[in-house]
Amino acid sequence: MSMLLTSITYKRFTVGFLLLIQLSCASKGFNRGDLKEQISVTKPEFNNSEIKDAFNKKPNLPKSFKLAVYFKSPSPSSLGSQSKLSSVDWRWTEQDKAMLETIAADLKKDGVVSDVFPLMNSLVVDEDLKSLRLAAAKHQADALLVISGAGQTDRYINKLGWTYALTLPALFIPGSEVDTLFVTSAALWDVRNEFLYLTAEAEATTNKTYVAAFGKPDKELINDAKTSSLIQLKGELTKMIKGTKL
Amino acid sequence: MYKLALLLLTNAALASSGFLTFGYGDGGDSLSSASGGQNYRTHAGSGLFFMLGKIITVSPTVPHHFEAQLGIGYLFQNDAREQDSSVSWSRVPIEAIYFYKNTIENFRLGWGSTCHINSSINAKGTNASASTSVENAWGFVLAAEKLWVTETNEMMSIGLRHTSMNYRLTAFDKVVNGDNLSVTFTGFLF
Repeated sequence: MSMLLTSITYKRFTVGFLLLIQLSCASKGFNRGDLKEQISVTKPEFNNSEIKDAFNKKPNLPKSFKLAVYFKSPSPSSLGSQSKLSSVDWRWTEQDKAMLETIAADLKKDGVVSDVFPLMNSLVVDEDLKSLRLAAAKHQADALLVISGAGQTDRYINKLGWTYALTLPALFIPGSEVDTLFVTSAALWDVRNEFLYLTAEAEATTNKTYVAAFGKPDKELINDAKTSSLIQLKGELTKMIKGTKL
Repeated sequence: MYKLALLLLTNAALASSGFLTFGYGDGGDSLSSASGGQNYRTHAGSGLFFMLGKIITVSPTVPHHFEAQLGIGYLFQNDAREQDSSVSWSRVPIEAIYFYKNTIENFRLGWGSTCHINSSINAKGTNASASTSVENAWGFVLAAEKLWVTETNEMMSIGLRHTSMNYRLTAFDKVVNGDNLSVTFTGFLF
């Protein structure tokens, strides 16, 4: 009798569980607000004097100017570690920096800039715009290009994911999906008066279906999306710099 | 095959964390009846226990997350109502529980198996004849836990667990039912 009751209990538990897990499998989406916060270097202040000041700023770059390029360090997510989305630990690699250096070479060839140099992270105390401008001014740079980025991954199960409840399918059923979003942004500022010449933004999303036990770690996924995003940003930035009267 | 196992183990090691569980269970047949009617009250499924081990993330998906929990612990019940007369029922449980975790509603549902080894009833005094070794026993586990996160960002859970198993008392050649219901308190170590 006891065995029978136990068997019924286990069967009910299994059926109840499978129903519960089927209720929702879909992705929860990305939190773009959090990503925007991570890539920004200024916090907008909404008052009339700030707006008036912005209008009073005029472009004053010399014909062939010195450009400092700064790669903003990844910011921690404001969502905290208990966020349902994973904001991943990542960094700018040498390849990333080299990719954007090719723009500099093009601009030099066209005579738009006289010199381009990277602004080292070690020289910057805080990463707000004023500190970055000060570091650029110490290098006698006329303009400052700030590149920033942020990424998120969203892992969820698809329709096949319910089979993971049976344990072994997690080794061979492709019931997991991961969406990765990486947003990159570039802004060109005047070092002397904080005039904003241009901004460019690009984003890349990737989707991968995988077997639970063999999923790629977040870091690798973010790197793939980051490369795609940077390629787009490079194109966008070149187009804008060449099309803008600096 | 060797490479596959190595890859799985590496993945598991990277995505694992620890846990520590305390709990108390009650239920099962009376051991004193099974061992000849001595004067003590201990049930086969009863006892205070602690477990510690590893949690291996199988699928880090949200909100439906799957993880395997492997642990080892100590489970005991002591009846010492008179001086120099006591009965102690102890076992070492080794368990593997597969959990479904809902990361939005913050609960876990698990099922798995447990093996109780090194089990024995040690008695002295008036109940000394109750002493016996107990064969290793396998059982099934069902678990449900409510999770919460503390202000210092630590995750904890309170739960109910049903264990279904039988023990064979070697000295009396009897099988006793050790089914029990336990209340558990778990701390997750990141």
